Amino acid sequence: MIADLFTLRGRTAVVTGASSGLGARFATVLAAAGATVFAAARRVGRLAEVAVADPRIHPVACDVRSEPDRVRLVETVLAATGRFDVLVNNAGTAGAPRAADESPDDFAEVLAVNLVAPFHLARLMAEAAGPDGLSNSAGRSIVNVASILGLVSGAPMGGASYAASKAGLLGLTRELAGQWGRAGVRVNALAPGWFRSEMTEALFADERSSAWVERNTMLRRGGEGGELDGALLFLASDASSYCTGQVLVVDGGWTAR
Amino acid sequence: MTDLEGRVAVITGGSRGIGLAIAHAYRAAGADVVIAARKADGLATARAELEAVEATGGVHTVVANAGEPDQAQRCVDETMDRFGRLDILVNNAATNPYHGDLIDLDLPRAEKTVRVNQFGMLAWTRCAWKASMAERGGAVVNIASVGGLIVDPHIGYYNATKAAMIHMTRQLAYELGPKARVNAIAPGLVKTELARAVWEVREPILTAKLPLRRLGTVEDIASAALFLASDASSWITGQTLVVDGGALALPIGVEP
Repeated sequence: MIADLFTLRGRTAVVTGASSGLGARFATVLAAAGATVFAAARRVGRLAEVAVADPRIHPVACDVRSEPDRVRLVETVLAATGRFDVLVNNAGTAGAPRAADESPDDFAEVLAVNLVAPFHLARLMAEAAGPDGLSNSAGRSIVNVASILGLVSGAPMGGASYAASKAGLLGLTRELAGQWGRAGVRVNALAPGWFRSEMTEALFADERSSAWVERNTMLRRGGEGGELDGALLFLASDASSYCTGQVLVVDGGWTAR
Repeated sequence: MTDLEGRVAVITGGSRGIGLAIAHAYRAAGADVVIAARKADGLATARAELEAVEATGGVHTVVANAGEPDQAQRCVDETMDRFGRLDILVNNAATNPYHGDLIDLDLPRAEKTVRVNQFGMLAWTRCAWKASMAERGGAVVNIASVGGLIVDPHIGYYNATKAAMIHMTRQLAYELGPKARVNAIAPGLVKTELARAVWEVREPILTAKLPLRRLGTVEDIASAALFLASDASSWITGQTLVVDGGALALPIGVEP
């Protein structure tokens, strides 16, 4: 039955940036769909709180910028479950909204978290699959959490490094999909619009800017907490088994104009 | 999350292929389905096939040509009489009467292609909107094609109407939001009867070019159509979801 395709029973998933906001929610959603979830983040205390919600969620301390940490994360996953089916590259950071305010170090830091780390985690996941680098196992899916700012300018609330990193993530998604499809690894991106999250708290708290979001969104409101659940599950599961290299935009119609 | 309990869906071209697979998926998710197609015998066979699977939702069939606005109206009227609501419209019916270079296309076949693929989509959406969605909301799912996004030999005008569908998906999402959501699916090459001439002989050559190394199945499209019709996609509108085995991720037309 088609609805059964949305399940993740027996699969192992990793979610980065899982200590708060969307990442914590994603870990819970994948676990509820039946996956064993390794929730990775720097803040272990907050991770433990997320893991309390579901016995299938296992916290792992990991700074995604660090290669030793990334290697340890993948080793932990394989040692515990012997498989690695779903990677959700969610960890992200935002720089200053005005390009003129971004120093070389700030810009590099945003790229390190938002673009470089997702690539190396994807590479380690692919390597982990078999001696030839990629075994032919169905059901493996990488979901890169990008942003509509990888597609359109966010001015006056964007950020040059953020937009560049997310656009880069879309290019990475397409390229890895082209290279790894034959091995059964699908790679897609999720591009959320103006969602209520920790990162957009200030935006929605301000009456003028939240009115700006509502006015320019076809569905006349910002995205609510659970409204990425379906898209994430679609991309992570076999429901999307013929989708790869694509960007699923969840933005209430912001970019459709 | 993909539950459609209590919803009513109209699917054009619903007697076979992608349309029938979507009808199966919606019905399994709890919806009542109304399938429209040109031929009564095809509809009868499809109905028997659908009803052979136990599900709560009913099945209703309507003989209608997707390119005739009067018949769209009659189908929507029958749906409202029978179920009192119309929550989901799948514009799936399509025609491809011409195979050859665009430059040589004749007007009668161009008109037929536009009438079904392009104007048909608008006519059915308008009927569904006025009868139910303007008041109760709803979701429209348009079955376009990756052909609407790329250049392909021999089916240039079919692809042009699919490009029009993709654009009208955005325009209608804008006009019908926030009440109704309007999205499209752009399938790659799917093993349907309509496309049999394209895939039957060349399947090994075609699959070798695709990142996922296989052609699409009607179920691949049905799961995307279930996602876009359900509340799982409640904040998605104006989008075209490409389901193509990774074809578009590669340089189009470049031989491996």
